[in-house]
Amino acid sequence: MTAYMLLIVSAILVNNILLAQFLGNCPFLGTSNKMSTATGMAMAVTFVMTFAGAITWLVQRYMLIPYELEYLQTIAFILVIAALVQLVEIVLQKTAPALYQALGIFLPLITTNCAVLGVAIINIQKNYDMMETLVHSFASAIGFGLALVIFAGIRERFVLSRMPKVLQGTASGLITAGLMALIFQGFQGLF
Amino acid sequence: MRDKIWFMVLVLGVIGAIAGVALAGVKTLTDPVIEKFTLEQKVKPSLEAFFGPIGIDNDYIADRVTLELGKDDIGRMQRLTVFKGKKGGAITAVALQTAAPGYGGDLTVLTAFDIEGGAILGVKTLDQKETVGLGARVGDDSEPFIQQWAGKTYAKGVALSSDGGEIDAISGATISSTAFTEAVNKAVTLLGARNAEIMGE
Amino acid sequence: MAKRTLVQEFTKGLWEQIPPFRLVLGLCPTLAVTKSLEGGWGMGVATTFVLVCSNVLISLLRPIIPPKIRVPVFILIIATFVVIVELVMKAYTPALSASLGVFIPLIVVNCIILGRAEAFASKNGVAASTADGLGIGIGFTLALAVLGSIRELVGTGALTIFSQADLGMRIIPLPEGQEFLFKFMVDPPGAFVMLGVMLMVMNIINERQAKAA
Repeated sequence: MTAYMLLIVSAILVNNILLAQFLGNCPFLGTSNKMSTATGMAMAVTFVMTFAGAITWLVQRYMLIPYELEYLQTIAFILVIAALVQLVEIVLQKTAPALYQALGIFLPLITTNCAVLGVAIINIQKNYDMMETLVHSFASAIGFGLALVIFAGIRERFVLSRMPKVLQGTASGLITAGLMALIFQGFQGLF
Repeated sequence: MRDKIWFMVLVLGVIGAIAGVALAGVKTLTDPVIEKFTLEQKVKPSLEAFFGPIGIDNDYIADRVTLELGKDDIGRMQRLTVFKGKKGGAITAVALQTAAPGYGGDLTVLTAFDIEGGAILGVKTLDQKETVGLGARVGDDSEPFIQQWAGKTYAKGVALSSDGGEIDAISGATISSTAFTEAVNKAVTLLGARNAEIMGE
Repeated sequence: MAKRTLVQEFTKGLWEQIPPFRLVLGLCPTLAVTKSLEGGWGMGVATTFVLVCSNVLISLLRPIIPPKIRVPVFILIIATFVVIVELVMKAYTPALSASLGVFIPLIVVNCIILGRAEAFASKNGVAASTADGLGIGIGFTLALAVLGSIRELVGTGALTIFSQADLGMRIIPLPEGQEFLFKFMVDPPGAFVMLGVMLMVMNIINERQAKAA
């Protein structure tokens, strides 16, 4: 049990997927302008990342390894993720239209979210079993969502303050992200 | 025609097939290069340092065999590469290449054994994905952790001092040190279990 | 938008639409690999290779790619080239490959490549697509190299050009055993801040140009 707790704390705080491992930046800077878009993206990513982690693990274990095709990992994984996102879109549209509407265009964008593919690859690199993969994928997504939501909160405040024109938009966003990353770096001494 | 399902499937299938062939081709081309690199840059200098002092006189790089050990519980084929060191035609030393799961991935270790003397000649990390500054120190030959292996007897296996053995782990890198020791232990076990195949011609 | 000449297609990638600043794409690798000059240009070259190859192939195949499945087809093509780069780099530049790590396979989701495939290569001829790919790729490489140099210089006082051939130089002397003052530059916070500052600088330059015009 402690092993899993460590895994969770590590994934969310110490090795935050976004602020420490740099995965998931494109959507980060694009969707963190408003709280509502940020939470939508966070939910969508959590959903997809967890499932993608599990399925890619299965693909690696039962298709790539037995046939010695590990070098095709990148192709196999990205196709799985793309297909998964399509599938999720179709299923949600039919069974939970409200949720589908809430997630909006973020769902297809998740295919190119480097965090999803990145976490899938890391699960394999670290030799996690299925349970660890699920925990790690889910926790990483939570970490991503956490950073995203905090960021959105800050950026919403920015709009109300006076900022030099050259800093507006992405520039100030990046510098803020840097400060956040600095803060999260403080977690490294946790254990 | 582009809107027909069968056409879409065909296009995906054909592109997929061509991609598969192209990749398999590139893989067969690059595999020997990768192997050669490891052999030239890492194995050769280390074996020169380990085998040299005891008078080995054959081309131990050419005199190597790879044994298939069967699949592990994940379904991966385990392979053992054995470098034979001969003096005057008889095998007096061997180096075994084994791997164990470390922190960031598999740790590949080369262990050289002095068969006659019954001691380990030396160890070398061939591939690792450990944390830089901590576990990755196993990749540094001058690191005390690596240096301590030379001269250790292996008849009863090897273990970390925290497990009652003689090997001191790298502080702050327990997982990497344990994995490294496990890899060497695998070599020791295989040396005994597969002795006939290893020593045979 | 007026039709561009071939040369203009190429040069637009070097300033007007340079990623990751103007063409706000490809941020993940930018932040991660620019801790050194070597990482910067290494990733840039790898990405340019994939970008040009996929642009060319997609442009060639555009008459037969069914629109409904174009995204999976693009991904398949891009992924194939990425794996080729992965294998080649592992064989010929193992140190660089190890240091770039997981970001090499991540080139497949680099929004730049998919973005150009969708916005350009699937709608233009081979020559133009090649120019587009080359220009944007080289622009990206330059941006990464500059970022990498700044971060490495300020963060460690040295510059690594190609570690496999031991090509690098120490610009600012460092007493043994001491860590460099601005080490945070090579860590994640430095990456974000650096990129933000550079973007701000580019904004300033653009403003001046607009005022002068």
